[in-house]
Amino acid sequence: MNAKVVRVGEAARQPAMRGIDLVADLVAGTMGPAGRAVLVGRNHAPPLLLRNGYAIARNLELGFA
Amino acid sequence: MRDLAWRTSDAVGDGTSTAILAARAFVRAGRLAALSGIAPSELQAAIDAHSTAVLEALEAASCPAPEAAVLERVATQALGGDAALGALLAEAHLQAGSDGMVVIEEGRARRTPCASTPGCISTRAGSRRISSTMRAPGRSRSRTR
Repeated sequence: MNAKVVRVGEAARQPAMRGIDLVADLVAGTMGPAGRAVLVGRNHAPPLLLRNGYAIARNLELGFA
Repeated sequence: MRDLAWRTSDAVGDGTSTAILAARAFVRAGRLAALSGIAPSELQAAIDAHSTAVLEALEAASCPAPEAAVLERVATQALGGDAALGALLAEAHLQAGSDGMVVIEEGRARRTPCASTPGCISTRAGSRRISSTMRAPGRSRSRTR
């Protein structure tokens, strides 16, 4: 069985907050009529310029913090 | 966050970035409240009360689907300032109606045709009532419900 990482209280909230902040910061720049795109790199394919919050969130994969 | 964005995209089709930013603000405030010793059950009741108030305010501020001229301006803005395409998109939306579905497809032709198909089309995602299809040259595929 895989060992579990146990975190309680603020130590548990902080990594989650980091991830949430990361997505939100990436997406914030795409907002509005003058929003800019986010460049997403892919394996064996040309990178993508995305301006859609869902598409950006879907492409984001973070290792265990 | 991904699930939230997916649900927003599925239910509304737009506003995913706004939803993500709102969620971040929500989590920040909730964390602050939890840190300052507010009981989670109290917090839940407060969140429910406030979200009801916000929904009521939004409901009061909303207006019915605008007339053609306003729709055309919105469409032009959404297409990045292309007035001709904006007029076509507004027309497509008017043909489809507020419950219809407008699909923009990438095309290789020189002009941009607009076709409307009344009736029910069964797709995997469900059924569309009236659909209005537009083929724009060199435009990426996107869907508007």
